[in-house]
Amino acid sequence: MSLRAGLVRARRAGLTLIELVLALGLLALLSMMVVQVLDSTLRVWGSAEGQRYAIGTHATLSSQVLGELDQLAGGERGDLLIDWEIFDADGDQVATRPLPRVRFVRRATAADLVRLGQREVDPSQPDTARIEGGELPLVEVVYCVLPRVLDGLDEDGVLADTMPGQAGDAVLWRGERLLDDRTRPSAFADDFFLNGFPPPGSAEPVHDRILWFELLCAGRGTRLDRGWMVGTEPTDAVRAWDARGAGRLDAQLHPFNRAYAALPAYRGEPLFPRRIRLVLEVEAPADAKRRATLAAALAPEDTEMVVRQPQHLPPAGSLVLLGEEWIKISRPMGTRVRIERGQRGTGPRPQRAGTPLQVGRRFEREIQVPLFREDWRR
Amino acid sequence: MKLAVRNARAPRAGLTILEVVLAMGILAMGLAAVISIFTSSASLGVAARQRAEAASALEFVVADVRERLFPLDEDGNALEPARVVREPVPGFDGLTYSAAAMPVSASMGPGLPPLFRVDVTIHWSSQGRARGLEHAILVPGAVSLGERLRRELFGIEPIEGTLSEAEGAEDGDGAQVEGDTAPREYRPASATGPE
Repeated sequence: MSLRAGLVRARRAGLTLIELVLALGLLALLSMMVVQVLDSTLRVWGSAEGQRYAIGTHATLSSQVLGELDQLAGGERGDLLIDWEIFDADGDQVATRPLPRVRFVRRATAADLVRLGQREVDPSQPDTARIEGGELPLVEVVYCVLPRVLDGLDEDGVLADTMPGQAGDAVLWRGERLLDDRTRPSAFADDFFLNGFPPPGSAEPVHDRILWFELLCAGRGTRLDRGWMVGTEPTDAVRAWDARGAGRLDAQLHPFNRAYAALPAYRGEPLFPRRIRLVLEVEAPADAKRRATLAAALAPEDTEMVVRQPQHLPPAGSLVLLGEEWIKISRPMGTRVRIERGQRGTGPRPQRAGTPLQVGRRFEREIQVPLFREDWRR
Repeated sequence: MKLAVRNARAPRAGLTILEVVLAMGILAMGLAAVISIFTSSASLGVAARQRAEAASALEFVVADVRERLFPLDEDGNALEPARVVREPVPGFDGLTYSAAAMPVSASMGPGLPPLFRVDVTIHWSSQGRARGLEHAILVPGAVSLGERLRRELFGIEPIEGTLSEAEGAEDGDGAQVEGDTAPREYRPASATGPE
């Protein structure tokens, strides 16, 4: 009797089974909706965070580089050399990734002189400073993008220990010296970039996670009324520049090193481009945490890839770095994506499963080169 | 007895469906409010990116305006520029620009071209609203030799104005067009001399 009464009580104590199932079903439905909304919101948030990071980083880096290029020095000692070296960034012992370096001579600012120990304050006239030697010195500046050193590239390992970033990461470096400073190696010397790397201590890392860095140059004949188009004609822009026309560009090494087609003969003063455009792509830390990866190995002839987490891919038509190869992606169909191989001066390479697809946001800025010798006569 | 037991236990019988739905509704409203903060900050991020893109386009347009704003007549004299209204910016999808030039001085000196103030605006739209980035530059009313060569050798045209009769009438300064689209000719001081 007491057992029966207990059972009856228990049955009537809370929700019926149908009510419970209904409530659980509703809860599941609602939680699913909430999770979906939260997921998409977090994705939008992550993307906005990436954008915020990109805007800040790109603005800072471009201001630094273009601000220095704005101070280019002319005259017999002036120079500008933009060229490309190819590197093995993914450790497969085959160098296929072109990375740029730019070397130039610019006017020194007061801050440079203080930093480089060339400015002395006269105790009798503390408000004025004089420069050792009396003449306003020039500064030689070098920017180069280098991969994080991998086994086999650096013999003594000196640079390898000091380099920031992770394996396969490309880092922007900056070096400087007073043009008359004989104690430091000149960036224009033939043996400065031995094996593609500057001598230890001659440059400092500026920023890691550089995916793309290029300086497009417009010569006298380059037509820009249709936007910047890179090519081999005198009306096209170029990716390399030799202001002395001294044959320092090695087009055999990489086609990016092709000199401007209509550069006049050098006559003792450097010949500068009339406009320079900096194109920059840096991978945001938020994007680095949420990379899509290759789900299956890719042969050089493949035009379709299978990816894990395709939701982290950028919009169709974007360029994505896969290992050390740039590819152009189309709209993903599930986990399958059609791709165009070997973009941006790279070639189709075999890719291992698990290789990450790195994405950066494109940022462009340009300057008009003040020392471009423009003639205003009619 | 049975009735009394049921009545006594009813208040402790758990939530009704109505209560559960109501609670979930309130939860959903709260979540919607939190999520709207996320999305609005995300849209701020998008707006910042668009502004950065517009700033990049502005650099391009300003450099282009300096080179190509002034048309030339057959004798090589710089003519007055036409007004540019919402022309697409080459290489930048979804961005257009306007440029309006007005003379600020007759000449900077003997033999020098006059100075023009050019107001450049980059236009784009964000969430259905028109946005703009404005900038003003001073440009000499002359065409460089390099630009003359590019026009001669490669057939590059000066920036084409889209001045319509209505806009010309709206300006009311009478300096613009009379019937045709040919811009008013400007002759530099050196060209209006005795020769």
